[in-house]
Order: sequence, then C-alpha cells, then structure tokens
Amino acid sequence: MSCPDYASERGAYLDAELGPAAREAFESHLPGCSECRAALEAESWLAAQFGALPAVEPSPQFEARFWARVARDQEAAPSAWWQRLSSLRLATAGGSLAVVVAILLFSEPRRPDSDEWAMIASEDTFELMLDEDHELLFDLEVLEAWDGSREG
Amino acid sequence: MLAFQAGDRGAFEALFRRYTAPLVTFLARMVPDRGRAEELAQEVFLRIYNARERYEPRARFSTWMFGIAHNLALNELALAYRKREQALGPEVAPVADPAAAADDQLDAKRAAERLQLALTRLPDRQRSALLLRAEHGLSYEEIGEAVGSSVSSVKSLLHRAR
Repeated sequence: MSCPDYASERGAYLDAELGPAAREAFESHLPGCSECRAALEAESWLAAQFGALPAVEPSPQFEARFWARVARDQEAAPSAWWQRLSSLRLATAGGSLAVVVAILLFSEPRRPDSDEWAMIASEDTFELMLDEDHELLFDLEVLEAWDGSREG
Repeated sequence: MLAFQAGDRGAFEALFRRYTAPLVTFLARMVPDRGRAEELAQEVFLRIYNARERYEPRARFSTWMFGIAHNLALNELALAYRKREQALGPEVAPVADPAAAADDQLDAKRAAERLQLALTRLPDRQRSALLLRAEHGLSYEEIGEAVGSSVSSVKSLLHRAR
C-alpha cells in the first residue's frame, strides 16, 4: 500500500474505525512515512486547539425558554382527539359547502327537454290567449255600451 | 432518543442537558449573533422534540442533531448575506491582521482569539465541517451524513479548511 492509499485511512484510524488488520497495517506504515505522521500530528494539533477553545455557555434561562416554547407550540397545535375530530368536522363541512358552491357556479344551467318546452310554449300561448280574451271582453263591453247608448 | 420515542420525557431532558453546551457552542461559532445562535439551538431541540414519532436511529443522535444545526446555520447565514448585499452591496473580504501574524509569543487566550478569527474567515460549509471534526469529534462519515455530502467531499472541505 502506498501513502496515498493510507491517506484515505488516516481519518478512520483517528476515529478508531479501522479493523484490527487494517489498523496494524497502518501502524506499521507510520514509522517510515513522514507525510502520514505529519498529517496525524496536524490533526491532533488542530483538535487540541479546538479543545482549548472555551465552550460557549448558554444563558441561564435557556432551558426555561425552551420548555415555554414547547408549551406554546402544543397550545397552538390541536392535540386531543376531540380537537382533531372537531377540526375534521369543520373541514368536512367546509369541503361540502365548497363543492355545492362550485356546482352552482360552474355547472351549466339545465336546458328544458322537449315536453317542458311544449309546456312553456303552451303557457305563453295561454297568456296570449288570455290577453286576447281580455281585449275581446273589452271590445264586447264597448259594443254593449254603444248598443246601450243607442237603445237609450 | 428511542426511550423518549417510547414516552420517556426524562430521556429527552437528559439529551437536552448533555448536548446544550456543544450545540450552542457550534452555532455560536457558525452564526455571529450570540442571541440568534441560542434561538437556533432551541429550534434544533424543538425539531427533535417534535420529530420523536418519526425518529429512526439511522445515525448517532449527535450526528442527526448537528445535521439539523448545520442546515439551520447555513440558512441563517444565507439570509443574512442576502440582506447585507441588498443593504451594502457585495461583501468585501476581511484583511488579515499583520500584527497578529507577527506575534510569535501568543498566550492561550490570544491563540484562541486568532483561531476564532480564522474560523470566521472560512466559507460556511468548510467552517461547519472543521468544527464538527476538530471540536466535536465527528468522523468523516458522520460529517458526511450531517452535512449531506459524500465522505470524499468532506475530506476535500476539510483539506481546504486547514
């Protein structure tokens, strides 16, 4: 195995993720390879530098604020089964209403069939006939009045 | 996390106390505003809390947690960059401090300050990968899972970061 092959195993070695045979092979490679040794030293140095950095402590109210936030979230979201059920009922009612409105808005008005057309036509005719009758009755009254005046 | 999933709230509280400091530390090094870093840490824990029913143990808990934190931090930074660009125009790269570079006898505090300054100058993904590796001890595979990259991409990120 050449150094570039071992280079890909350095991280796994430091993470103690190499199997026993691979670990032994890598450790036997190390004394003769300055590149691998330097890489491991650099990694260790970097870890030590970061290890020396002070951890950032959270503010004293951090945990209390978190649980308050959890409580707010739980209040905002319905969790009990009856709350979910009432939400479901509302959603169902809303959905039904939307379907009815959509049908009324988007469905074409139903066109009358031939029998209905005939009935409508006959109703119109009947109204015309009534109008004509009315005129006839009016004419008749005029005639009668005229006849009456002549008789008088 | 599995105990919490089974209804043991105490198990979540134990995770919360164990990982609060590493999580806040990671986010405070990623995001310049300390208060905002704490808010993001709370957001991470809230997401974990709310995901208990869907949780599947595909990775270590810390890998999963840092993955959420990494994504939230990058989103936060992207938003901040956009706002800054809209307000000021393109960002100007910070200039290295020559006095700091010339000083060979640095005490531990100064060294820590320099390291933190150097961190702020790294691109966000490199900084995140380096922090996860060097400060929080994640393996290349775990970093890959956390940041959604292949192991070779993580190695490349870390190589450039160093």
